[in-house]
Amino acid sequence: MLHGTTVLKEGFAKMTKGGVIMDVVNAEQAAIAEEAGAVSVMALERVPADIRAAGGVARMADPSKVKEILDAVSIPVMAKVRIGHFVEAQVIQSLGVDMIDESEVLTPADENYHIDKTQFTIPFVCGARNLGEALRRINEGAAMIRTKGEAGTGNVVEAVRHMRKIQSAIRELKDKTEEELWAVARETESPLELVKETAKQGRLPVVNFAAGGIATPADAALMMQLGADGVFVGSGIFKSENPELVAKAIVQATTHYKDADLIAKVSTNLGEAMPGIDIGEIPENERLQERGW
Amino acid sequence: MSTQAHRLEGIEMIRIGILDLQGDVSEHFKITEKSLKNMNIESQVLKVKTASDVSACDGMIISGGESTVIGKLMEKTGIKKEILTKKIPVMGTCAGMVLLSTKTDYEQSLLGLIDMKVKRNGFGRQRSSFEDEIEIFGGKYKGIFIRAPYVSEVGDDVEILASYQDKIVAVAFGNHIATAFHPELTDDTRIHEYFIKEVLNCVE
Repeated sequence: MLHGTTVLKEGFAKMTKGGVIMDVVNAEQAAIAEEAGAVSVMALERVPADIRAAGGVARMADPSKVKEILDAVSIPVMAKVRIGHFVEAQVIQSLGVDMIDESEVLTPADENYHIDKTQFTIPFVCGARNLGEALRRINEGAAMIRTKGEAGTGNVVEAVRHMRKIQSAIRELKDKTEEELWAVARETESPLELVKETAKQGRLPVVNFAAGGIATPADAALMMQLGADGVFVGSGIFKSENPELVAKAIVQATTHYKDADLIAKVSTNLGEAMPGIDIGEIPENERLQERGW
Repeated sequence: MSTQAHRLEGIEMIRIGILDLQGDVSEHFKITEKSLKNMNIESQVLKVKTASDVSACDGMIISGGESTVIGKLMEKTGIKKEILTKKIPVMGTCAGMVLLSTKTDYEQSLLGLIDMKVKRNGFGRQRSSFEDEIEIFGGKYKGIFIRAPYVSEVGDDVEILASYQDKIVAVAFGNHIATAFHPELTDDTRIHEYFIKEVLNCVE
């Protein structure tokens, strides 16, 4: 009997495709997310918007918080650890969490090395802004990629930028010769094997979600039409006026992302979305997407 | 060959629908196309997103994913009602097995097409997910179990196709088939081909 194989890790990620992964901070929110149709919940101490507001060092959640959420739902539970903090990852794995997000939303613990994700039984998801970053994370063992976007802003512009960048880089690979692929590997600082595999498949070799700033059903459908396999919604749900309604609407819009009539219907009378932040107002050194490399 | 040609007499082509609400849909799509090609059957594989899509299908496959999510969306789209009205053969893997059952240990929307009780995540959380050799159709098979369920009780007429560590992991009932593991994550088409034969029997 084999545990923790690449097939099992990447397979787990494949089962989330077409779904919405929602940030939750307690059992009550987790139950609301599950009832609304979340494919998984991300157990956190604070949603990104509150992490941004609080400042200071953001770390993995208290184990009691994670356990509370694990006990509250039947769907898979994910949790975030700091970039490079492999002991936080060991702790999260020992709690029984299903997937780890090595996340730029928390304060990085290592400025040189991401976690060696091949050393873990459970799979990891990591953020990326471009093809090279995505392939480097996959090379380190990530079983799933998500765009970084700019978490906690309710502003989808950065997630769009990152998704478009990754998709257009993949499209460019299509007609390249062997030597040209070598050059791409060098320029993007990513392993040749993964560059070739991406060119062959015409997509990232692992599941690729959108994250960072998705706040409305239309945002979710936009990311799906841009080629995302699914979406993470962080602050967008529980910082809105009607979390239950917004959560249900985003699930529907993610499934039926090409059906404008349905998106119109589910977007009607949702109340106030989370307040958004203009990316230009965030000083560059406070942008979460700049964390990691 | 002759039996198959006979079976297909008078049938223009068969259409297999892959439920496309959530889960590893593209993996099922690919292996279903491959199976149909192996069997040399004139066919079409469709993605099913609405109730009206169901009416074009001779058989349907429900992928792995989250059974709670797929169940809710099947209800909302009217797909559930359409499947039950149309009475077509359905194959389910993992979440699909849960949805085919009559009962689980959790309150959720089910199709109830196979007389069985299913224990969701019966083998544990993701850290307990596993790959191991199992036996099915009298041969070895690579079982990929991801937060997999197992069947805890079956009705009298349910055929047990495979068990693993004394737990039932694959069943057939009427023209329906369910597995706790993921044939769509392998290159092995045996289980899909078995299902396609069931669909052919029905179309006849």
